[in-house]
Amino acid sequence: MDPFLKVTGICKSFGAVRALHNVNLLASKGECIAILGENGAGKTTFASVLIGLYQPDNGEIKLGGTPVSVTSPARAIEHGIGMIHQHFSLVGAMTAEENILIGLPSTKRGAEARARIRQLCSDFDFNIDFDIRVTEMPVGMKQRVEILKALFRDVSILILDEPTSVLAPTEVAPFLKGVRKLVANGCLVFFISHKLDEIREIADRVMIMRHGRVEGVLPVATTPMAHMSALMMGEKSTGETVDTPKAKKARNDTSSAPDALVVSDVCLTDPGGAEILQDVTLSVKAGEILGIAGIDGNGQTELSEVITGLKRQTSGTIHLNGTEISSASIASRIADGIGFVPEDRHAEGLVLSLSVEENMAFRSIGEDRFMSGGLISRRAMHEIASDVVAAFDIRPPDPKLNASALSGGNQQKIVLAREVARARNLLVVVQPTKGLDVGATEFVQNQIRAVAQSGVGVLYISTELEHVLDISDRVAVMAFGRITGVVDPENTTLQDIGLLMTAAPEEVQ
Amino acid sequence: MNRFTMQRRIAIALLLALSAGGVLILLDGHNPFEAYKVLFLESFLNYWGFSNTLVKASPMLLAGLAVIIPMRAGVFNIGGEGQIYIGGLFGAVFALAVPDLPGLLGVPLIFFAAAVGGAFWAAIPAYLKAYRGTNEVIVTLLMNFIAIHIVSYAVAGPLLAEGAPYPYSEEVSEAYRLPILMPRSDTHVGFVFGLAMTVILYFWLRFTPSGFQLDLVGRNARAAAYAGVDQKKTVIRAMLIGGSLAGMAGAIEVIGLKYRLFHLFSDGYGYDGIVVAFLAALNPIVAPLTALFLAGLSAGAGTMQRAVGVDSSVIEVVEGLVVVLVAAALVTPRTRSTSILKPLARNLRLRRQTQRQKKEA
Repeated sequence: MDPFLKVTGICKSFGAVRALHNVNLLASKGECIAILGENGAGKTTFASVLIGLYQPDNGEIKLGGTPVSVTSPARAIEHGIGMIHQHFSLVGAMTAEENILIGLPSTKRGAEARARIRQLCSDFDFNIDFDIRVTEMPVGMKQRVEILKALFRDVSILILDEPTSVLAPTEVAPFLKGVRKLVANGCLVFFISHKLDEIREIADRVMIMRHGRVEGVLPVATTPMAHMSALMMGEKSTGETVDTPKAKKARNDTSSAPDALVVSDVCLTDPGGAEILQDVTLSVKAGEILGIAGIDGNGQTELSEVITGLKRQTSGTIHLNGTEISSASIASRIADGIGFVPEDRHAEGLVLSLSVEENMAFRSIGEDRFMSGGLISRRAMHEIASDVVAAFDIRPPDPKLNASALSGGNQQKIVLAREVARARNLLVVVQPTKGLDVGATEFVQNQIRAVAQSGVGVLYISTELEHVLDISDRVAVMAFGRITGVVDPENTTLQDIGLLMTAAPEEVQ
Repeated sequence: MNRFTMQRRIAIALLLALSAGGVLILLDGHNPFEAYKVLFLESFLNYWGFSNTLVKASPMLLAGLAVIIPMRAGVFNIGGEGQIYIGGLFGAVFALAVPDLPGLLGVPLIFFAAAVGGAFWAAIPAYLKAYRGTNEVIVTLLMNFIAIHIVSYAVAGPLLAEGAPYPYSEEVSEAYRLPILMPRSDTHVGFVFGLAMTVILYFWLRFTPSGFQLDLVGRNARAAAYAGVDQKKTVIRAMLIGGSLAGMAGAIEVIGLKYRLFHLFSDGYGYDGIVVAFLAALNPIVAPLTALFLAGLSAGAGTMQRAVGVDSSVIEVVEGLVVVLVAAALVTPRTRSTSILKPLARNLRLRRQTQRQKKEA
C-alpha cells in the first residue's frame, strides 16, 4: 500500500541559496511528525512547499498514491492540507467566529456551524472569547482562533509552525493534548518546533533538518535527545551542551546600585473600562535584570508600552534614574536611553521595506553616530550596520538587503542589536526569544546579560518561564494586571510561580 | 519588492501600454511605428515641440511631487488640482495687489503667496485626517471642485479684467513674468524650478532626520510611532509641503505662461501629478523623467494627428493604459494590495470629468 503522503526529491532554491535539497519523506495518517532544525534550516520552506506557497524546483508530492500539484494555499485546503503560521492571517476587525467562517458559502455559516465551532473549542479545551474582535485578543488567543479555523475546515494534514511559542505554559499541555486528539482521529500533524521536550511529548517521529537537507527521520521514543540535537546542530556542538543545564551564571551584585527604573502605582484602564494594569509597582536597579513572568495577556505587553511611552498610564508615576518621565513623549524617552524590543517585531520593531542598515538606524536616527554635519550619514549607517551584522552573525550578511528578505530569527537579531546599542539606562525586552532556536536563544540571552553587566537596568518580559528564571536576578510574576509576587529565581519552585501566575484577583489580596 | 524589479515592472507596463496603443493605431489603418516616431520626435527632438513638452511638464512635475511627499507619509493627496487653483489665485491676487515690486523680490513673493495658498488648501484635509480620522482621499478630491469654482467666481467677479470677453483677470506686470528658457518660445524656467525642488526633496527624504521619519510613517506607522515620530504632525507636515508644491505649480501657470489668472486654467495637472508620482514609484528623483514622458505624450498627440492622421484620442487611451498597467505593476502579488490601483482608476474618471466640464464651459 502506498503511504498517505509521499514526498520525493523536493528541491527549492532562492537565487544562490539552496533552501531545500532533495527532501524525501513518507508519512501516514494518524501520525505526528516533528520537524526540528535551527533557524534557516528549511523547516518553514518545506512547510510552505506542502501548502503551495512555494513551488518546488524539483520533486513530487503524492497524496494517497496520486501525484498532486499544490499550486496555492487554497488548493492545499482542497487537498486537506492546512497550516498555522507563526504570523497569523486573521482579520483584526472581525470576531473569532467571523474569522473561522470567512470565505465559506452562506449555507455553511448558519447556527449549525456556530455550534460546531463551540464544540471544537471545548473539545480542544481552547479558551476563546467569542464576543471580542481579534485585534483585542492577546496573541495566544489569536493563535487558538487560527488553529480552530483549520480544524473547522476538516484538514487531514495540519502543519503547525512553532505553535507553542506564543502559548502560556499552562496552555501548552491542553494544547498538546488537543493535538494528540487530532492525531488519534487520523490527522497527520507536522509540528515545527525547537523545543525538544515538547517534541518528545507529542511526536511519533522527528524529521531533523539542517541547511536544507533532511539529516534523519527518526522515531522519537528510541532516539536520545542528545542525538537529535547533535544532528540538528551538526558539528557545531554536541548533544551535551543542549541537555545539560547551563552553568549557573554569576549574578550581578546590584544591592547597592541605584534604581534605574521605578514604577509606582501605575494603573491603566482601557477605553472599555477594563483594568489592564492595577497598581503596578516595581523597580529595576542599574545592572539588574528583573524578569516579568506570567501567562500571555495579563498586562505584560501593556506594562512595557507604558514604560516606553507608547501607551499613557491612567494614573501612577514612572521615574528613570530618579527623574520623573511619567508624561514624557516616546521621543524623549528614546533620547533618555531607553531601549525597547517590542513583542511584535514585524508590525512594530521593523520596517520590512527598508534595508537592514536603515532598520538598524531608524529608532536612533538623530543620534550623533548616524549624523555628520547635520545630515544623516549613509556611510556611518552602513559601517555601523556592517559591524553589527558581523557581531550578531546576521545572515545573509548584507546590510543593504531589505529586512523582509531575512528569516524571523535574523530579523529579531536586528531589533535586538539596535536596542542593545541604544539602551544607555534601561532595556525593556518583550518575548525576545520567541521562535528562536536553541543557539539563537542563548545568543540573545548573552547579549542581554552583557547589557546588564555594563550597568543598564533590564526589564525582561517573557512567557517562557525557563528563560525568565535562567536570566533574571529577580522575577516578578504578573497575573490579571497585577504584580502577584516577586521571587528569587534561585530559591523558588515552579509550583510557587505557577500559583502566582494563575492567582485569581481575590486570592491575591 | 526591490527597486530593480519595480523599475523593470514599470518599464514592462509602459511597453505594454505603448504596444496596445500601437494595435489601435494599426486598426485605424496607420503605421504605429511611424506614428510613435512622429510623436516622440516632435515632442522631444523638435525645438518647438520640446518647448511645448517642457511647458506642460513644469506643472506636472510639481504636481507629481505634491503627490509623492504626502504619499511617502501614507497620505493620498488627490487634491493637487484644487491646490493648484488656490495657489494660482493667491499668487495672482498678490501680483495684482502689489504690482510695483522689482521682479527679483516680487517673483519669490508670488511663489510664496501661492505656496501659502496651496498649503492652506491642503491644511484642511490634513487637519481632518490627523485629528479627526477623516479619509483624505474624499476630502482632497471634493475640495478640488470647491477650489475650481472659487477661482471661476473670482475671475468672473472681483478679479474680472475690464472688457474681458472671457473670465480672466488683468495681466500681471511684466517684471513678475518668469524668464523664458528657450528663446522665441513660451517655455519659461518653471521646469528648472521643478528640478531644483526635486533635488531638494530627494535630499531631504534621504539625508535629514525629519525626511527620513516622514518616510517611516508611510512605510510602517506603528514602527514610526515606536521610533518616537509624531504621526499627526508628520501627516500635516507632508500635506503642507504637498499643498505648497501644487500651489507653486499654480503660480507657474499664472506668471510663467498665461500672465493672467484664467478660469479653468489648469488642464487637469493635479491629476496628471498622480500618474507622474506612480510612474516614478514615489521616488522624487525619477519624477522629472516621468513628468517629461507624460507631458511629451500629451504634447505630441496633436502633432501626430496632424502629421500621420491618427486620432489624438489614441494617446489618451495610451495614457489611461499606462496608469492602469503601472498600478498593476506596483501591486505585489503577495500582499494583493489594491490600494494603489483603486484611487488611480478613480483618477482616470476624474480627469474625464474635468475635461468634459471644460468643454461644456
